[in-house]
Amino acid sequence: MKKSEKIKDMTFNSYTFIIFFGMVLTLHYSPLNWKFKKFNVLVASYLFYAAWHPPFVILLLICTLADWFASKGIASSDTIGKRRFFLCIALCVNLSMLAFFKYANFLMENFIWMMSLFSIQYQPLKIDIVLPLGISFFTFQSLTYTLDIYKHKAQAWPSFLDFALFVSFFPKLVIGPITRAFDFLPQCQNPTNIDIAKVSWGFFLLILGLFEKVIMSDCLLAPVADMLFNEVGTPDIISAWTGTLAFTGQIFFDFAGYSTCAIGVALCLGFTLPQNFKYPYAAIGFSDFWRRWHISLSSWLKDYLYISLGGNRKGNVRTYINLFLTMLIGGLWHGASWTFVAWGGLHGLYLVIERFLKSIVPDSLVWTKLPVQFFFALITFIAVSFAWVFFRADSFGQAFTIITTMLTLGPDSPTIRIKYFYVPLTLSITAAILVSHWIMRERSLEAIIGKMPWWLRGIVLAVLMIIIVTCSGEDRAFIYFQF
Amino acid sequence: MHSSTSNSNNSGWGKSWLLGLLIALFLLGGLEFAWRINGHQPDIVDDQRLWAMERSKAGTSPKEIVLLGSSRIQTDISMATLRRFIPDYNIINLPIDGTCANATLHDLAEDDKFSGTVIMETTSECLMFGYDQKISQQSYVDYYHRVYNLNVEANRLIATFLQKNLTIINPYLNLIKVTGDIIRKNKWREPNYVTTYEDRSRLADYTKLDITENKAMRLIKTEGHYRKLLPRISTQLLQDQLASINTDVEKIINRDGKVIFVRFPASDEHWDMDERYFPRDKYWDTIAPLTKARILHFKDIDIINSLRCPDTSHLDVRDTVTFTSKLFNEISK
Repeated sequence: MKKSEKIKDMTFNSYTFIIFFGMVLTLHYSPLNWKFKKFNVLVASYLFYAAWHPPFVILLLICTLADWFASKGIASSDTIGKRRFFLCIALCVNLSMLAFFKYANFLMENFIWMMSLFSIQYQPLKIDIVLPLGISFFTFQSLTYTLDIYKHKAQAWPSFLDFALFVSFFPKLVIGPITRAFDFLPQCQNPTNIDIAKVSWGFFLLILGLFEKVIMSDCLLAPVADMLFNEVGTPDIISAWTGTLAFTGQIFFDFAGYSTCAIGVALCLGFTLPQNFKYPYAAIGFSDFWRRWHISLSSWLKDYLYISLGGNRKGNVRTYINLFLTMLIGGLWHGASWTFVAWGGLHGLYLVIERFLKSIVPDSLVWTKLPVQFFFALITFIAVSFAWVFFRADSFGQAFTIITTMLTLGPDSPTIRIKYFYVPLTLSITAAILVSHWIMRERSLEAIIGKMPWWLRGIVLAVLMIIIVTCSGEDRAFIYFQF
Repeated sequence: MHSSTSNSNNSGWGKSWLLGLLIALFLLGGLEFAWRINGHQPDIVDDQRLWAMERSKAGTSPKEIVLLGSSRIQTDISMATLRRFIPDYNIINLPIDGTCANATLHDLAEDDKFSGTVIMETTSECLMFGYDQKISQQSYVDYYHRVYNLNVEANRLIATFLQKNLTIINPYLNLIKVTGDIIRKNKWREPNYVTTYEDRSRLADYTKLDITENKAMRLIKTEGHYRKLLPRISTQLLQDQLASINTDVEKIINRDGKVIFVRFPASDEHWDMDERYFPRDKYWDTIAPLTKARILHFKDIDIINSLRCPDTSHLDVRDTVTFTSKLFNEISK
């Protein structure tokens, strides 16, 4: 699947979701027992997943059963050998599903390419593999349960219903936030009662997330990014920068929008999901960026991969290698393409350079001055934007063409020109993102909305709803669906 | 972006939501009223889902007529007229803007259940380059086979119902685009000259359009496209394309179906340009007879030849009844 091709299905920005969610909520807050309510959400989650491609619910079930029974095996084993054996089973089941569905074609393409280097023309039967929606997310989430039990961080959970609900919980099922088992499972113990404030805040987040997705991403920025990335040719310098900045904004609003919706929907059902974005474009440095961007993935990679590789406990060189490797794998996790690996590698390189500079540059009060911090934030933002080119481009050729144009004056006769009307629009939105993220850097939206008088909150809600209804753009799937 | 914990200030949320909904309903109602008194109408958004829904109807009865092609057949055919001629037939409307229908023809040929009549609007360029990714309908065909399901259909049905009844959700009246027009052109949007219906048919009223700008843009785009195609013409390519097309046509004919290729009207500068790049005698008259489908060219049908396309490529709504009647008569011969 090309990066620009997307799948649409039952998501937060679809009409069927409104009906579906209405029914789930009605049953969830009906006077039934807690076990039935959890069962209701479990069935709803499987239906939610089946709405896209019904046969793939089997994968969800396999993933659930594999981790449940492997963890039971780990918990009841008295020797390290047995524990490892059960861990291996869980890892094999999860990662082989991921490898087959996500990376089989990629591996085959690379194998064919390698054979061609030795003048061997290998032409295997082409298999048309459909990538199961959210497979990277639910396998990683499910694995947290097994890994935490293996590492003695938690005890095996007594209820299979709770565990199955954790793996399939529909708000977070397809693109996260990647939730840890033992952050979610304790929430299944006590019944959720209607809390008007909680539900209201949940709906507010749902509306806000839809605004980010439908208006900021799809309507305003995606068309501009497409003008650069969906065309074949060489852009002029203004178009290269404009298209790249547009995608930088688009991917934030698209992904943060989904996370906001997911958190809101979960909250309406009385469940709390982890924060996934914290104003990332105000990050000062790359380690700060990864504490603010896709937080649930970066913390997963840190806890389950980087630390397992040795983290920073084995000297400087090994730390750099571990950092770089973690980001490379993080890049590959996003998609079966070398451009994703390059994106991850570039971030790995940024982190290594930052760590190295921090180790040689002495501490000084100068670094804490506001203009200096803002300057570093700007540098971080520009470097992150450069990396997004690899993330969005369909090929290295396209990525290099765009980056070369951004760094030079561009070709004499460009063939891609973004209409100039979109240049000030994109620059204004980019400036607004930077300023708003900077202002909100150490603040919380809940606190700000919470302090608003009720009538002002009402006006904000009305404005968001009116804009969503009257300004919707082309109906697009969430970018992260392809991962 | 936002934390998952519940809001710290719990007071007044009920009132906030009530106020928000009331304001939104009041203003959206006002906007709906304002658009309508200014002549704007609800309109159906023609997307992959609607196409897939229409495609799903093919192959359900032998009395089927499938319309294939680009915006020309979508705009030039009066569905009401066609239905009057053949009331007991299912008419399935599968054209897609700016594309060639070869991929959809292939899809119907591969569908053993389909044994109806295909009326395919095509051109010399489409017969030669119709499988090119940029102008192919393959992505729609793939969407139908890979993504389209009950949920997509349900979503589309709700969307169609709302789009049929509400002007405020008409993408042509997207407030951001309207604002953009005001900034760039210093004017409000006039009512759209094209109306799309839920059967995917379209009617264009060119009295509502400033033709000059529209025509100029269309001609520049088409000429750019022709220029890219011209150097690629080769005997080998032609043979390959014709072989594929003929295989598909044969498959449909062998199931008692019919395939008719029709060159739809173009006029003035557009037709002149067509003749400059792909002269009829050199291309259409040479290539089209090599296909196994029945061939019709608008220039050979007297009344149709006299119809003029206001934008040089599509007929005005007022001419669609004449065009459809005459075309139907020709096809029935």
